[in-house]
Amino acid sequence: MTAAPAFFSRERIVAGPGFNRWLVPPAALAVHLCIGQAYAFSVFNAPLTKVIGITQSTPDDWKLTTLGWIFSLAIVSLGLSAAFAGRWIEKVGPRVAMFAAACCFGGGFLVSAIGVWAHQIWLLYLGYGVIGGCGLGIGYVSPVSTLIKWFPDRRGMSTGMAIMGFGGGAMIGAPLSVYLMNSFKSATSVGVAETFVVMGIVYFVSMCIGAFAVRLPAAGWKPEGWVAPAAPKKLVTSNHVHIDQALKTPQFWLMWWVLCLNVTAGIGVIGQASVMIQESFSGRVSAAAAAGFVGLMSLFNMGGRFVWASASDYLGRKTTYYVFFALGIFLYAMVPGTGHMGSVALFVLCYLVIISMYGGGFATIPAYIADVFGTKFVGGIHGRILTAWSAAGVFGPVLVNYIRQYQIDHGVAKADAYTVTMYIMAALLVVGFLCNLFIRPVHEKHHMPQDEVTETDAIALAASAAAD
Amino acid sequence: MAEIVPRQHSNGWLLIVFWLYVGVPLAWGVISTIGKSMALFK
Repeated sequence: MTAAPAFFSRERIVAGPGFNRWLVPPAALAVHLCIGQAYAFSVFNAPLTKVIGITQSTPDDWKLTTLGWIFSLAIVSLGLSAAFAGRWIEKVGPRVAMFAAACCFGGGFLVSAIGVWAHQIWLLYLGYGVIGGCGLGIGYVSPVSTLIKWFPDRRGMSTGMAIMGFGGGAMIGAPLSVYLMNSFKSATSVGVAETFVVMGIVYFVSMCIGAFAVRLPAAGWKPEGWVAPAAPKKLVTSNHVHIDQALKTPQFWLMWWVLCLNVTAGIGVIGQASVMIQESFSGRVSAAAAAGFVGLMSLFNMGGRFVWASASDYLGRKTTYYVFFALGIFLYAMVPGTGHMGSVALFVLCYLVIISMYGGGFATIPAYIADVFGTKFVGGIHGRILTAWSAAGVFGPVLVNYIRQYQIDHGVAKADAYTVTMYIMAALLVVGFLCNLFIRPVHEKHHMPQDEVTETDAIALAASAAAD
Repeated sequence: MAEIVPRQHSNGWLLIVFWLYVGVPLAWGVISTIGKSMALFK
């Protein structure tokens, strides 16, 4: 008689026969829809500057520049935790990883709530920034690698579904935060601490539901009726590259730059979109209309994740990135012209396509990694490539802000100040196009030896037998 | 001897409920964002 595997063990969550794989995407979404709240953190900025003064900021209140570090720390922690926890995530399996993410993300909110009550900014840095950021990184990677294993026939679509959730999380998080803050607001509180407590608990529970529902396919499992193509596309390998070995391949670093440059270009304009449209069409676009434009962009950011990643199943990953870069170069170069022409519609259209490709870049990269490095360590390798996101989070806004300020300081009209920025973004995309061009199949010397693959498969098979 | 029946881990209702669990909040978020975006066209 064998002992039942522990509730959190990898062996316990291996699916038996008859399991419907379409139960896994909602488990992944349950996590991604929560952690996607990070994109909506800015809704707390204004209330957090009035924690002491309540109706208006006092000299003792936090400044916006101080608060800006919370989100930056969260994104840096996301990249670092995804990179350093990659091996651990692969080892323990998605249930433990997703539960850990729930503890970190929910716990980060609770620590931050204490920070607001005590008015200690370091607790917000530690809570939402570092602990919550680790929850973001672990929670982002783990469901994605699990989905890739369940959908070998539709890798792009499956990763697109989960990562679409990350884009959609802000759409739930923003109105929910505003609603809760308004409900808790009183003469003595701006309502942020109470909102953090509620959101911490709600997100923890929701992510735990995802963690407990997730399953891994048994070793050797394939979708019913699906046969792996006899002659797969040139870049798609049936071999596997070990997570540590991947770092020694040029393909890893080329992909790192592909993601970094695609994200730098997108992230650089996201934060500025509202100001950019108002300054480019001064007097014609109101602040409310600009906010509407930002909302529309977030819809395309989310939709692009699913649509482009799904399209990559047919186009191929490399071709999809060619489209992102080539079309991106054209559109970034075209944006200043739309401002000069005075065409708001064309301006908006260009931006919506650009932002859809920004989201598409995030959603397509895990499938690209699986194609090139195999599926065994896709989560860990994906985690390490996500450090490109952290880097882009610094490059993008800095590039746009400083170039704009430099232009204005040198007498350029505000409406024209973005022209050079757009051309620089287009140049970055040219570099990205070249990086993508140089991605070739991984040399066989980097592949895991067949006996090592067989050995790990045998261990997994024994685990799934024990689960049955 | 009893016939060995493969263990069924999921049923249709569970699938629907789980998709609704993530789909309804997402739809709410999308609809509220669309509502906000309409300001661009006014």
